[in-house]
Amino acid sequence: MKKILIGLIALCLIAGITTATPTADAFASSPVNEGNSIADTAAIVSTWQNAGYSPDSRTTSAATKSTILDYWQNDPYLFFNNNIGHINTDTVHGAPANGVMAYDNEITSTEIKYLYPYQGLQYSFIFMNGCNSYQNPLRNAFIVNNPQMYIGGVTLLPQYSSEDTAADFWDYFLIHDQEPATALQNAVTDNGTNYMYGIWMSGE
Amino acid sequence: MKNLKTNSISFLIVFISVCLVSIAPVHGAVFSTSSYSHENITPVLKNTILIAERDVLSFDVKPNINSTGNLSLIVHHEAWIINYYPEPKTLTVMSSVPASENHAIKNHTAFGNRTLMQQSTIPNLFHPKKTQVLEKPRIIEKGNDTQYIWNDITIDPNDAAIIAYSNDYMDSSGIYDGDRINLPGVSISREFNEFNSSFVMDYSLRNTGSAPLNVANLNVFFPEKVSGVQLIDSAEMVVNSPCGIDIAEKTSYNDGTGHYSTGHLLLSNCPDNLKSGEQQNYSITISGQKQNSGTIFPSVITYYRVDDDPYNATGSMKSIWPGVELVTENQVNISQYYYFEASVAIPETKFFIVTPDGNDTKNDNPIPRTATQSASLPVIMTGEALLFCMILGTIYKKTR
Repeated sequence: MKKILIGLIALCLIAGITTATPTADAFASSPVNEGNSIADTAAIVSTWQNAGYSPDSRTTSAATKSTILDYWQNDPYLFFNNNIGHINTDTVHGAPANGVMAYDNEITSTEIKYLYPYQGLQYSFIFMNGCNSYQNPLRNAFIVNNPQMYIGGVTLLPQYSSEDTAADFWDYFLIHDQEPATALQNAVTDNGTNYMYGIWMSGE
Repeated sequence: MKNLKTNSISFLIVFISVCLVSIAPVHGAVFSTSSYSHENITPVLKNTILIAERDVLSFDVKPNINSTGNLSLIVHHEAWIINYYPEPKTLTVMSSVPASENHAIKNHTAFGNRTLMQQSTIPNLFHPKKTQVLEKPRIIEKGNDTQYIWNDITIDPNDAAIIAYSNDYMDSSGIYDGDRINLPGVSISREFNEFNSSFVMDYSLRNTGSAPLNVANLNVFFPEKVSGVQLIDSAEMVVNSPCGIDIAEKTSYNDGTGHYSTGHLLLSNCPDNLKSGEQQNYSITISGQKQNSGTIFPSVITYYRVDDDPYNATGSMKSIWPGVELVTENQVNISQYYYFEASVAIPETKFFIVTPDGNDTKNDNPIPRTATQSASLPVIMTGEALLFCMILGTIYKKTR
């Protein structure tokens, strides 16, 4: 009995660690290795660290649906979100935008909309770098979770320069202390991606 | 004691079940992935070289007060050359740039990875095992003609070599034509009017080509707060159109000057094909209180796709850019696939001048600053896991 209990306590500790609520204050994901997605995700994490934050990140096969949703739903400290990847749209590239493609499955807009609790996305700043990610129902699915900012693609996006735009945005925003719209304006100007992103701010 | 042990084991099983349930932190149903769909059935590909090509008509705008002069249309051409023979094939790929389209002045010509656009249909249709994006080719100038050549490319069975480059397609002088905006296969006409405190924009998107346009739609941004100054307060956008309409409020986007302003963004959804000669109409009315003097330059975004004959079944497939040519030592069968799509933002040349009705100017709304937050210590165990361990510890002490 003693051995069984010791084993169970060990199992419990492992399970406890496994199920630990994420506590990063910034989370970057990139389910696809395409263009500069991995390098730019690393650059964004570095920017967050330089700004004094403690980020987590997941790329390619580690950027699973359950992992990403765990941060968006359960991380009470999450403040910044960045995802570089594909958006599932009915018409290949147009409206509506139905969800975010994780490595293993789609995170549907319905699942994002009805996150409970939604403490990961609440009050956070979200950059969804993907074609047409500003389209509904995806945009509203994020916005009902009460974030402070949502940036999404309004057009088809080029691979490298759009991913570089996301990295530059966080640098202008956090390192150069610019307001989000100003930071986005500078990032798109630097990368030739003018007219490709919309930004929603809760305070407007 | 035996009874206590039995009870303890049952108790533990129940708690392990609770613990395991808590491992799954995500709620909601699981849906299958279906990113792409296509009406045309992919043919069986065997003993052939497939040239699968895609042209994306994109754009570049340099912000300026008069940004219309800085709009360029850019074509992103990608050609996936996939070997469906059982043995490797070595070939040379050539791509000719039309003399009339080779605008060296703007210099948007680039090669390789950095010219690829996201979300190509091609890899999801043909699933090549390995891909290799070829970088800069040999460039041959012959008079006004330019030819890009990638020599002696060896492609293993079921692998693909990808030719990708961008090139200037058209400058603004070919786009703006009075009340019309002309793009390949599409004409956008518009008329602006003002009635009392309402601004009315009537847009029509017409298919001027011979092929049907798939999922053609028009999006329009109307800025109300420009350079931090609220020109129109409490604005509302109403749209009359047969298309599905989504109005994004509180949106900042590039206005017609190229700079980020804040207002309403109309996003439309028209799933039906737009046949040759047909048009979509949008009547957009913005009502609100004029607050400050200023000028409003809207901006327009359009998306459409031509993919009615991607396998060239009719033998008269329409393309906006010349396809690549292959040169091989031995004769090979060549199959084709092609589609074209446009995703273009256009700064408006038409504009509204806002003059307040009264002298009720307000101060600018300050942009809210972002809060800062310090990082906290990581939590390595959930509360329920900790409780479970404490109970186990108690049982362990009792059984000693």
